[in-house]
Amino acid sequence: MNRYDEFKRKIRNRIPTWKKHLIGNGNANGVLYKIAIYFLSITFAFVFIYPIFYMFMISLMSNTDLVDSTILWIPSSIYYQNYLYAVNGLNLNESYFKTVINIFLHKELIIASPYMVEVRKLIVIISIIPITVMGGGIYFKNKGKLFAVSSLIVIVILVLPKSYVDSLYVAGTVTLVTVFSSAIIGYGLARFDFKLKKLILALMLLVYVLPKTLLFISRSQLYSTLGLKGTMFALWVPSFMGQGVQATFFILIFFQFFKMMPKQIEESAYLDGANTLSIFFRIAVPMAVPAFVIALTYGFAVNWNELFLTNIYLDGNIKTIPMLLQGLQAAWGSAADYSVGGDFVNVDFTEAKAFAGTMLSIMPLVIMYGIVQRYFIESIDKSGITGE
Amino acid sequence: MKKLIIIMVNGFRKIKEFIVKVLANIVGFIDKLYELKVFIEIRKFFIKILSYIFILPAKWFYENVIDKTIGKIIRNKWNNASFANKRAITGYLFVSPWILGFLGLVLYPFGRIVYMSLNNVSLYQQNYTYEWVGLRNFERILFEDIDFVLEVQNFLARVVLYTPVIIALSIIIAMLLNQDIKGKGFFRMIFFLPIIILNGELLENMSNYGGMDINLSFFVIDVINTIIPELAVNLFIGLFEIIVEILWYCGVPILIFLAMLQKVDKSLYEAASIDGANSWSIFWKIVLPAIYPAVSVSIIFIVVFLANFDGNPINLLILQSKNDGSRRDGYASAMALIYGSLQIVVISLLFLLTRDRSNKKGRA
Repeated sequence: MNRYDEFKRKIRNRIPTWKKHLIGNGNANGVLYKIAIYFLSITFAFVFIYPIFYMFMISLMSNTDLVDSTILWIPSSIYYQNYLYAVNGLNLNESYFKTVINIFLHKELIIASPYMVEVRKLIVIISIIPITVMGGGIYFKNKGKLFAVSSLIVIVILVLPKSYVDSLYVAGTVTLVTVFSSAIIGYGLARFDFKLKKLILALMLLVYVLPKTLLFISRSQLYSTLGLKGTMFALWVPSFMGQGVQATFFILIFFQFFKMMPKQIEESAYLDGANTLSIFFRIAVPMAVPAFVIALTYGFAVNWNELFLTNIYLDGNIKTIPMLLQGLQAAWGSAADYSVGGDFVNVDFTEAKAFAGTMLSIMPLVIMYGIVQRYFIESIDKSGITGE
Repeated sequence: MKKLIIIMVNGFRKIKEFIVKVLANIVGFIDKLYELKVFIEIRKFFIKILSYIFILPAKWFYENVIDKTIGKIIRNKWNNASFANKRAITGYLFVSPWILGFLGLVLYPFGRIVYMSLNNVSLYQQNYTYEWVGLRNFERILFEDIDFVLEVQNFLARVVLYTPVIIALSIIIAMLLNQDIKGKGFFRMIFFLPIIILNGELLENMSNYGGMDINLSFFVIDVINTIIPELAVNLFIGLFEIIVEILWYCGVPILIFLAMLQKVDKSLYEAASIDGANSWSIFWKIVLPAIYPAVSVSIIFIVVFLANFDGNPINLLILQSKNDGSRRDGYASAMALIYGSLQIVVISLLFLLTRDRSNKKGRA
C-alpha cells in the first residue's frame, strides 16, 4: 500500500509539468499547440500544392495510363513525349535567334507577325543595355559591371525560345511602364499638397472598382482610330497613364510607402540644391525598394497571365504563351507527330497533353518566383501594404 | 551508397563552381572590355555624333524659339509663385499622367459606351453606323435574353459565397504564417505561389480535367454517410470540390492580413497573457480588432479580382456579344454598363457592411 501511495504522489506531482509540456503556460506554447500549428500548416500547404503536383504527375502519363483505373498517381512508364508535342504546340521549338537572323536576311520568312513589330521588339531588347547602363548609373558606380550583366541578359534572351521571348517582351515592358508610372503618380499624391488630391484618390478607387470589360469596346475603337491597335502601344499607353492591369493597386502601394518617408530628408536635400526630380530618383526610389520588388513581381505575373486584353488589343500580331495555350487543342493536329508507328492512341489530345502545356506555360513564372521569392517575402515584411 | 552520394554532391558542387567561374570570367572580360581606352573613345565618338544630330538642333530650337516666347511667361509666373503653389504645381505634374489617362481613357470611353448602349451599332467596312434605339438594348438584356441574367446571378452567388470563406481562410493562414515555426520561409513560398501562377487558362484546364478537387475516398464517404445525414455530407464534399480554387484566390488577402498582423505590437500579447488571457481571447480581443480594417480592403480586392478574372464567364459573354451578328457593340456596351454599375453597387454594399466603425463612435 505504501509503495502505491508513493507512486500516486509522484504522478500527482508530475501532472503540472506534463500539463505545461502539453498545453503550455503563459511563456511558452505546449506540444499540443505546436502539433496543431504544424498540422494545419502542412495540410494547407498540401492543398495549395496539390493541383501542381497532380498536374505534373498526369502530364507524365501516356493515354493508356490515363484510362487504366489501377493507375492513380504514378505512371507505369514516364511518357515524356507529351512535353515534346506541347513544346511544338506552344512554338517553343524555335529559338528567337532564328527570327533575328530572319529580320536581317530573309524578310519574307516573317509571316506570324508584321515585320515592323518584330523590328521594334528587337530594338527594345537591344536597348536594354544602354537603358540599364544609363539608368543604373544613378545607383551603381560600376558601369562596366552593369554593361556586362545587361549584355549577358540580352544574350540569354536571344537564345530563349521565341514564344517565351514574345511573352517576356509583352509582360516585361508593360510591367516596367506600369510600375514606373505608378511610382511617379504615387509619389505625386503622397508628397505634395494640392486641391484635387482627395477627388483624385476617390476617382482612382472608382476606376479600380470598374471591371475591365466596361471600357474595352470604346477603348479599342479609340486605339484603332489612333492607329495604336495591333501594336504594343495599345498596352504601353494606358499603362503609362496609370490605367494598366492592377495599376491602381500599385499606385496605392507606392502612395503608402512614400507617405512613410520622413519629411526632413526631403527638406534637407532641397536646401542642398536638389530639384524635385533628383530627390525622387536619388532619395525616394532607393528608399522604396521593397515596394518596387512587390510591384514588379506581382505586375509581371499579372501581365504574363493576362489574356483578355492582349487578345483584343494586339490583334494576334504578337502571340503570348497564354494565347498559345488557349489554342493548344486546336493546334494539336500540326503540333503532334502522328507518323510514330501505329501509336496513335497516345498521340491524341488528352488532359495529359493539356497539363504538359500548362506546366510549360507556368515554368518561367515558377523559375522567376524561385529567384525573387526571398526578396519578395522580405519586402512584404518591410512594407505595410494596406491601402485605406 | 554513402560514397555515391558524396561523389554526387561533390560533382554537383564542382559543376556549380565551374559555371560560376565561367560566368564570372565572362562578366570580368566584358567589364575590362568596357573600360578599354579604345572602347571609351568609341563611346565618346558616338555620343558626339548623337549630340550633333539630335541634341544640338533641339537645344538651338529651345533657346531661340521656345525660351523667348512661352518660356518667358512660364518663368515669370514660376518665379512669382509662392512655395506652396510651386509644390502644388509639381504635384499636379507628377499626377498628370493619371489625370490625362482618366480624361482620355476612362471618361471619354465611358461617354462613348453610354452613347453606344443607346444605339444599334453596326460595323461595315471599318465604318460604324449608329441607329438610335433608346433603352431597347437594356430591355433585351434584362427581360428577353436569358444568358446574361443567369451569369450575373451565378456571379453574385459566387461573390456572396466565396468572399466570407476566402476572408476566413486567409485570416487563418496569415495567423499560421505569423507563428514562430520552423520552415516558415518554405510555407510562405508555397502560400504565395498562386499569386504568381494563377491564370484563367490554367484554372479552366484544371476544372475541365480534374485536379481542382481533392478526391475523397468512397469508403470514407460511406462511413461518414452512415453517421451524418447525406445532405450535410454533400455540402462538405462540395466544399472540398472548390477548396483549391478558393484557397488559390487567397494569395493577396493573406499578404494584406500578414502585413497587418506584423504591425501589431508584440508587447500587447505579453500584457494580455500576464493579465490571464488565453490565446482564444487574445485572438478575439486584440488580433481581430487590429486586422479588422484590412477586411474591407481585402473584400474590395477579392470582388474586383473575381470580376476581372479571365475565367469569369461574364467577360467572355460580353466579348462574344460584341462579335455576335445579332447583338454587336451596342448590345455589348449595354451589358458592360449593367455589369459595371452592378459591381459598384455590390462593392459599396460590402464595403459599407464591413467598414470599420470604431473611429466614428470614438473610443471612450
